[in-house]
Amino acid sequence: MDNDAFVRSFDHYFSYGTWFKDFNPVCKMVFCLCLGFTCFMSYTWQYGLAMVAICYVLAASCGELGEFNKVASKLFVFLLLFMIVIREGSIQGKTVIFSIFGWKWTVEALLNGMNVGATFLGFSCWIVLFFYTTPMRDLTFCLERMGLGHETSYVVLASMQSITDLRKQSNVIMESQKARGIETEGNAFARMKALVPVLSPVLLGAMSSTEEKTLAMEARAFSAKTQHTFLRELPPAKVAHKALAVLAAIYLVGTIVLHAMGLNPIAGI
Amino acid sequence: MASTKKMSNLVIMLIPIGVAINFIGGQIAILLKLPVYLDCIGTMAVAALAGPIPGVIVGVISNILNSITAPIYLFYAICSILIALAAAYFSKNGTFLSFGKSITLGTLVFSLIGGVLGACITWIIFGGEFGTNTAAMFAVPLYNATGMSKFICEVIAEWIMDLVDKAVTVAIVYGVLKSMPVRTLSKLPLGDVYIQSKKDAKASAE
Repeated sequence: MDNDAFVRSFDHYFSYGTWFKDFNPVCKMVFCLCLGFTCFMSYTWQYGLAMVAICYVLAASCGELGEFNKVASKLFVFLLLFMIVIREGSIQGKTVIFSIFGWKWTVEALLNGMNVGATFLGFSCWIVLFFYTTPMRDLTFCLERMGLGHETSYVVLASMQSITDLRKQSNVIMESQKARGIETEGNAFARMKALVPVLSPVLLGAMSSTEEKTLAMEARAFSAKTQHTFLRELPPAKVAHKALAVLAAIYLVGTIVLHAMGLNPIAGI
Repeated sequence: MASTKKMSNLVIMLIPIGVAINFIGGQIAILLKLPVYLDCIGTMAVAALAGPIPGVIVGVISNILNSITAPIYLFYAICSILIALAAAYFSKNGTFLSFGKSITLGTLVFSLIGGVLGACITWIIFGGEFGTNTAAMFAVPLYNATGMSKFICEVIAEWIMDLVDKAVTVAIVYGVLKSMPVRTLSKLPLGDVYIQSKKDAKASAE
């Protein structure tokens, strides 16, 4: 892309080229949260895993399958497999599947672990899908359009940047303290002693740099009362996006109401 | 978030730093292979210096960012909020001026919030059973060995794990507050508490 094309790219609304990534961020947030919470109305492994499959399909449709799978597979181990192990250790069932050194694995505990684990996995996958297909700056842009203050957007976006910056700084400080002879290996007491010389420069440096950042932002009219403009804009939410968000909300409310009445259609799926 | 308009720009700039400190504390604990989380240093420090609202914002944003890779953290946001409120309260009352008071009272209260309340949240969201957190690795063997109720085992496991974590966190926050320069403290809402203490210490030394 040459310079002219780059400059012209800001003349029109930004688009990612895939329908799920171009889904309005606020509507997408409502859509993902509502469908995620419906997992708690079902509490069955079939519904939970079905939700996981849908998330995988949506992630693949917008080219984020690799990144999504990295997190989802860790969640699969941590939420589903670990949950099965915990439940096999704490719930006594009747139907024994097998026994390991006297530890009996039963069908009842397995089903309980699968139901709970898959429920949390389904919920988690919707949240992960939302964050991996929605840059935070797009979400804050839409929220600012809806009336959120620019200070709030700054706080959220600066938090993410500060984590990256402070991480680099802490690695440098850790290496420099090691070069000064601070022991970071050995027993727990030795490692605990290393905590202060590593952490204090990081914390105090970060806190002290706040003043400079404040002056820099004030020099850039951060506190100006005029309306802020945006270099990169997203299109307004389409009717289809709003409709999907509303349908997801109605679906969630419907399952909650039916669950309260004992008529939950997705329980026991 | 309308209250951010009443916050000075310095406090607004401090919030992302507090969030970053929450993450970096945890990262350093992992690098040093320590059995602590250290994920509340920023929340407590910002609440102690700038008041309850900025501390709550730091805690909530940290939970939201943590939930990108572990969405279950969303349910524990209430713990972060209460820790921020407690830290601001202790700061206003001068608890963080004394190391002894910080370690004893601070550790007890913060570990009750993080450990006991956390255990209650785990109990509720996992349907009255053990969760998938680290405490479960201690709670399940405790339950099998002692036969105590599962809830009590979960509370004991989470509280004990949190006691150590919060003791280290409070000690670090005490050190940070004590080392903050006066020129920065003078611009922060609760900085007066620590400036006065530095003046008193200097006067008694002279």
